[in-house]
Amino acid sequence: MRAWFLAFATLLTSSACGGDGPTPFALTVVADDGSVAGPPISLDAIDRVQVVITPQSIDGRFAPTAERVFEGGAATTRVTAAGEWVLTLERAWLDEYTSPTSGRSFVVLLEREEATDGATMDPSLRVLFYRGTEEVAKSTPRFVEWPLPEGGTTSVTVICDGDDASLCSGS
Amino acid sequence: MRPLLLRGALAACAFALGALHATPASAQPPTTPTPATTTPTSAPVPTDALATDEAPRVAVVARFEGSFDPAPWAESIAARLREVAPGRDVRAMRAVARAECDDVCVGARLAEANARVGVLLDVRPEGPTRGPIVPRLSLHLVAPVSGQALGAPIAVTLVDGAPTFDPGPLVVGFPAPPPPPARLVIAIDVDGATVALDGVDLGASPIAPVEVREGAHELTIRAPGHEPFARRVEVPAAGLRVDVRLVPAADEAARLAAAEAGTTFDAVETSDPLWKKWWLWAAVGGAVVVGLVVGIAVAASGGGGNGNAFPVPPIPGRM
Repeated sequence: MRAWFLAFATLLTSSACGGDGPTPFALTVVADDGSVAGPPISLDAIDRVQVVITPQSIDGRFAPTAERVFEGGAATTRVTAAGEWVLTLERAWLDEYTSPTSGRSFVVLLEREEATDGATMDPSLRVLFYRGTEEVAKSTPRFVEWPLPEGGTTSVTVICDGDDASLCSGS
Repeated sequence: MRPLLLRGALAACAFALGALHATPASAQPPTTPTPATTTPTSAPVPTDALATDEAPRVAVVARFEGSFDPAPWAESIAARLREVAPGRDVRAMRAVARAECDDVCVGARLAEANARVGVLLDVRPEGPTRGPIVPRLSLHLVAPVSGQALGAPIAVTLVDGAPTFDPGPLVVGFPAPPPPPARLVIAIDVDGATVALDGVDLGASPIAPVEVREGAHELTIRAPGHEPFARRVEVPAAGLRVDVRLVPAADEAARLAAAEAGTTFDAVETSDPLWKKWWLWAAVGGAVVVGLVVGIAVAASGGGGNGNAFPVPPIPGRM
């Protein structure tokens, strides 16, 4: 009786919580506070963020797809002519998801669209910060485990491009 | 505001699920009936029940310059290491670090792969820029995270296109895999007995199987109304099951004898079963409500199908 009850209750709760869905891959983006290199970055001064995944040449490129819009236009994904997958996060998205405690980081959740994948090597990932149309900060390209592991996590630190403190702080 | 709502709702769901599975000790199944003996009896535990994921792993990571593709060489080296270092979990990482990835970067890659020690395959072109380029290969043993070099580089020569090297220094540098832990199952016929192994408190019976090193261990068990139990148990690598039947203390035995004779009765309190607890149904109901709220919120977000997760398409790869 107890076992049946627990099974029923677990099923009910799991269903209500969407427990069957895959756990997304969590990419934590941290704006350098000046401790790594260059002047500190203020996310308040950043207008747009791009997360770019580039397949290795041996694996070709992402298939061309139409731009997709999320969160009412606060985020978009597209595949460039060079075959890179680009996620663009606008100011509105940053306002919503920047960590209120640190003010310097946010988490981007990614999930595999399909279970199968033809890549033989891990692609590289980089994060770019823009003010207007000018790129002002970027992360060092790094390889990301591929296909993206469910529940996996990684963190990248974005560093200001120049020595001018106002470039990435806006003041 | 919406993320906070979603996170709070999900946390509530996690709490509800945790509450369902946090079965109290009194609700756990009783121990298996045990033979009437005061000495431990043993039965081997299937070896497939032992945890074996503690073995060290070794990863081969290739770093290269130019247009070389050293991935096949990394796999070849990994295969060679599997031959000369049996028992080690050697893997060739699919990722290839480019030249700008320094040793520390490679170390981080090893850490991501949960590898304890890695071999960095360094491939650099040598010779004139025109004509055939002869790659210069060397192996560097590096530790994860720190990227610290663990020995002098080892030269690699190509024989008929295959990398050839002396694996001796690499094998020496690899940590020997620790012996897998042995599983000790302690079954006691009395619930609530205090169990200690080598002086370390394991909690009250019934207790989950514990993983211990192979060899001798001191097992002590105490329970109210019973004689203390203390034995030295020899745990083999295959594991051990110890069935213990505690002996009632003298006064307890007399009380039980009197009870059997019908001269005395103890009031027996039975706690309500779990499914009769009001708070459990409240948690289940709350979880359902929260789940509905989450579902509606997710559906309304128009996001990437999982809250604010963005779907990433596959890389088709070259056919």
